[in-house]
Amino acid sequence: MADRSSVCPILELERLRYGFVDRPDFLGPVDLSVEPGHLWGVIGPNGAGKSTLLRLAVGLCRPTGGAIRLSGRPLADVSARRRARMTAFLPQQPMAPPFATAGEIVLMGRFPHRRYFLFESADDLAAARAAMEATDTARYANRPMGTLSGGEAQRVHLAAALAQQPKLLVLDEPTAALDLYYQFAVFESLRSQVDATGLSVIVVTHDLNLAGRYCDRLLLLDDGKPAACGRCDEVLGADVLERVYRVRFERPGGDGGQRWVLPVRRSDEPSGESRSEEAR
Amino acid sequence: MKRLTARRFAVAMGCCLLLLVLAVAISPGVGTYRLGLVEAWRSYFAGDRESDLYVIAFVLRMPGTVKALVAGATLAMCGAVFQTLFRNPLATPYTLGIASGGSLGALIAISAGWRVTVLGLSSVSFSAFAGSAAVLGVVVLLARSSRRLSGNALLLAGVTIGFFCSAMMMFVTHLASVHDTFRIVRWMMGSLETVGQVEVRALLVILVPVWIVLFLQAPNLNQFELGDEVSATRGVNPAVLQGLCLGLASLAVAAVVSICGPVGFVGLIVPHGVRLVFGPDNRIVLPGSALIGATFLIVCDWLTELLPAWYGQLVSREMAASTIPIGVMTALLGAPLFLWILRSRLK
Repeated sequence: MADRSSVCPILELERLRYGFVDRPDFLGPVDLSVEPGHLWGVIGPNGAGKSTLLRLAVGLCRPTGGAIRLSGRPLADVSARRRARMTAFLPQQPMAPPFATAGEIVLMGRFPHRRYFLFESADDLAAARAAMEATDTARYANRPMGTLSGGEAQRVHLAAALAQQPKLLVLDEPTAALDLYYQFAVFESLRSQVDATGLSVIVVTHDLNLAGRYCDRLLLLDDGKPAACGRCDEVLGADVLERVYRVRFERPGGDGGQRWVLPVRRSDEPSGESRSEEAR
Repeated sequence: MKRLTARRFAVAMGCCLLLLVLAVAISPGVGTYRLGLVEAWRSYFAGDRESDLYVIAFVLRMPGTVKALVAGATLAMCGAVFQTLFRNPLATPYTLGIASGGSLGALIAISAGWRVTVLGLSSVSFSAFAGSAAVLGVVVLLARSSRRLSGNALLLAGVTIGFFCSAMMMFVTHLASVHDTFRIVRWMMGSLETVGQVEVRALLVILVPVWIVLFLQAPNLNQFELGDEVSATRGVNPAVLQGLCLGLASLAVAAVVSICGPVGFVGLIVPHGVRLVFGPDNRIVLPGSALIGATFLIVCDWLTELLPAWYGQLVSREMAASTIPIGVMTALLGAPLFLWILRSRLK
């Protein structure tokens, strides 16, 4: 049984579909299988369905077709408490009461695991401390959330999600508000958690190069449909990338596995050279 | 970084409880008629239920204290719950229009001159409760017509219902006789007078279970403050929590309004004061607000009698014998007190 669970994907999406009243076939069909210890990046233009896919994966909305399985069990059959122990979600704009300290926010991540009804245990405190160390936020522990900068607060929320000790961590643009240094720092702490604990991560991001550098696999969504899916070099190297983003990319050093791209201009714009000539 | 342990919880609650116990213990000795505190309690333990001391301290004064305790605890705790559920620091227990509905009900009973006792409640109290319940019913119907009303939509709906009830109240007042108008205005100012003591006991049947259930929701309310998505993925259903807590808190507030009138300010300011001192964790804020709210209203109740006795001596004997309405006293004492706490915290 233990063997099976180590092979069993933590999250499986099978012919997954989702729609609204006015767009019944907005998303899907999507097939995806997230193995333990994998870091998945979900990329694509605005409105491609990235956030919707994440919301489906953590059970915030119900699919209109297809199946979602968490550790082999249909997601709808997993109790809310059990689901909370297995998956953590970091939304695009997390909220926090401004007078709560960063430490309290991280400790609140222990909610699904708490042993006593009202109080936190020493284990909870240890888990929260470890999560704050891993995200380099331990020094803010006693500061109110309202006094932290956007980037500091974002990392505190990440620490809270890590303190939840999920098997699957789902993040919606966790680096959108961060400067370059902390964009690297956040992805590095995700990567090291994945490597150290066998955590699985699904992260939505607009930064193709961070995704290419730190993720194991990428899923490229285009208007609700998977346009490419697989290893980073395959997805970033694919011609479909230019069509989906409607942007021209240059791919310096293209042979040794394409893990980074350079966006140069909109593909419907007149070519860059002629434009700079006009400027002269 | 500190975790909430049973010990830290006990210390915080112990401080609040001590204040409340002190306030209740001092109450029999506080009033216009000077009466030694020790003698008052001695008369209680002496067991002579006919002695003058006993009658003044425990028949005339104590019921008002009990009423202040019950009302203060309920309003402050429900205020904390409303502020959390609406994620809005300006929310009060009356935000959904409960008090306006209750006031309208009381007004109608007063101006119609009903004098019946229903279930141990006077006709005015019963009518006030019915008015609050009617408003709550309208809010529930609204909330059910969509899958879930957002906090802001509910807030707007509540304020709108409140305005409608206020307009109706002015209309009824406009039609009422001068004598009834006076009673109406007095009712609107709130009162802890205890003519029929049975009322408080009748309402404890509702209030005590609500206090307990709301307190048990404190850890869930903490998660709720992190947003609907995060709380849902942590195992708390935000829509269910909102429905349960708003419904129960509104019921309790309706009960209090029906016997005390719309006593303001306690539900808005006491939770904020408790948060300023103890931090925003609802596990402490909810019970802390209840204890401090009770203490605060008891102290206000003292002042409604003591203040006229002081300034009345300067003016006239009649004025010295009257009491200030409790709804006036809460803000009169509470506003400076809160501003002082706020200032010392902002330093």
